[in-house]
Amino acid sequence: MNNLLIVESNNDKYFIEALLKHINISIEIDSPVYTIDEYECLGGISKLENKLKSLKSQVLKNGINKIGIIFDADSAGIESRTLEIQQKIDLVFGEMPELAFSIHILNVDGTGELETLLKAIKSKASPMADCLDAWQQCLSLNNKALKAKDFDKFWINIYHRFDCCSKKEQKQAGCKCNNEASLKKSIYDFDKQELNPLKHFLKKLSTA
Amino acid sequence: MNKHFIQEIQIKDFKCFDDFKAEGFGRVNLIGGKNNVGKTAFMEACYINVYAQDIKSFVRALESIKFRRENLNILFGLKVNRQQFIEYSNHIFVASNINNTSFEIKDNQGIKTYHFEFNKQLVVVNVNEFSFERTSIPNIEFIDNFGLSNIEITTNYSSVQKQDKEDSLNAILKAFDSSIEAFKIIDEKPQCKTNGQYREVSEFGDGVRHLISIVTSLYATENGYLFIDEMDNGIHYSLLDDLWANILVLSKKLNVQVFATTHSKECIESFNRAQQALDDKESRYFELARNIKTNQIFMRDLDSEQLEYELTHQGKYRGE
Repeated sequence: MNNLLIVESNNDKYFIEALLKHINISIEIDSPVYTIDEYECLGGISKLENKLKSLKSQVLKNGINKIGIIFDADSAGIESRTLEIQQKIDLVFGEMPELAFSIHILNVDGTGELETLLKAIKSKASPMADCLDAWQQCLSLNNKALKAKDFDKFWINIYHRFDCCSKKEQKQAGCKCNNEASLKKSIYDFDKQELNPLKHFLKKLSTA
Repeated sequence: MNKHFIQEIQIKDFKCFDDFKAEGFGRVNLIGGKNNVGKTAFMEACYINVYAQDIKSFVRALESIKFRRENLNILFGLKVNRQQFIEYSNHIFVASNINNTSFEIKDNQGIKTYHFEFNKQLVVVNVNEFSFERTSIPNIEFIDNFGLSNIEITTNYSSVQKQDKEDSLNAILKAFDSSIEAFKIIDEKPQCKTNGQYREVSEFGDGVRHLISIVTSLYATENGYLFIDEMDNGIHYSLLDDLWANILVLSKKLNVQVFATTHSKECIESFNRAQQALDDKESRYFELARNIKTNQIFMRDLDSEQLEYELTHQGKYRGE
């Protein structure tokens, strides 16, 4: 068996790597669908078709039997996002009976993205990041809108940099407080029940 | 797409190809893949397919593919045995939208016969009566990784002269190396002028010969085919964008179908930049790789958008 996991962005990759380590599972994670520009990911699944086309050749070259895909629910929701992904799979792969796909959609209560989930499983005190709630209300009072997705990303950045980094680390925030470094620290509770469906998905993929 | 271009091909029993099919070829086709996956063999099969227009050109094509492979050995004393060189391609079958070609040696009770198929003809010849005569097709060229010989460059340069494109060639060479002032054939030898003096091309780096081979061949193969093995050999990466732009522009203008191979990521990136800058929809990149389960070779077609995605997203597009 040769299984491969596809994630949306580098941040997803760092998170899944940390979670796999926590649950002691080994699955190869391929290069993310989006790698260069973080904000490219905001376009939903537009580049998934390119990624799948690239994977089609990898399946033949490397004998991959099962591909797991993890994407954000965003505002589209689980059902809609799953359907979109399945349509792309059908379009690119057609009939390939020897290859199986499984899909997991990151969400909290049906919507959201990685950062929404991370916010829900944070394990350290977050006074600096929590003050952003007041800032968000201020924005609203001044008729300025900020999408929940952008707010959550901002919240996580502040949590990583100011709540979970020491003064010394903050002097090298670019490498010590970025998402990659932060997801290697014990600042998230990987035993929270919000992660149970994802853990189940990963375990199933690793044993398929 | 021009009618004379190869669009689809089937190769059987030739080198690493047992039964291989591929399609979707454009005017300019760049092929990447691991060592020994069959990039050169693929081009040789295409070359035979388009070259075999009669029995003499078929013989020439069969002989020349082996000749190219044995270049170094011939240089060091290997005697050319024309019959062996031809028989080396026994059993080959190549079918395309252009031509169906096959060559097979049969032995019936000690009587050895050659069976050629080309242009919907089947020709059977007793080996003892075979003349081994051969003819060249002027607008089909195969450049190996060393580039062309002086004689071949001289022949191809006459096409540049006939089309009054000496200045264009000089401009391309000057962009390649600003010290090169001009190119000429003097005493049947290709020579470049630097510091006011002409010197033989062999005194320059490999890249100069390779570049001259490519550009002169494009003019020589008008309405034909050009095959370039390891096309970036000896050429600095910073010059590849210009080289690809020239290949795309000239091949379109001269109606030449180009097949080229490379191992280099930089060469593929340059190709992609050139095809996008020129919005060239008739250029394609192909990955040649081996199916790990069946051990068969397959070819994957990437348009410019897909190639750009894989180049910028850590894609695996060279057989890895």
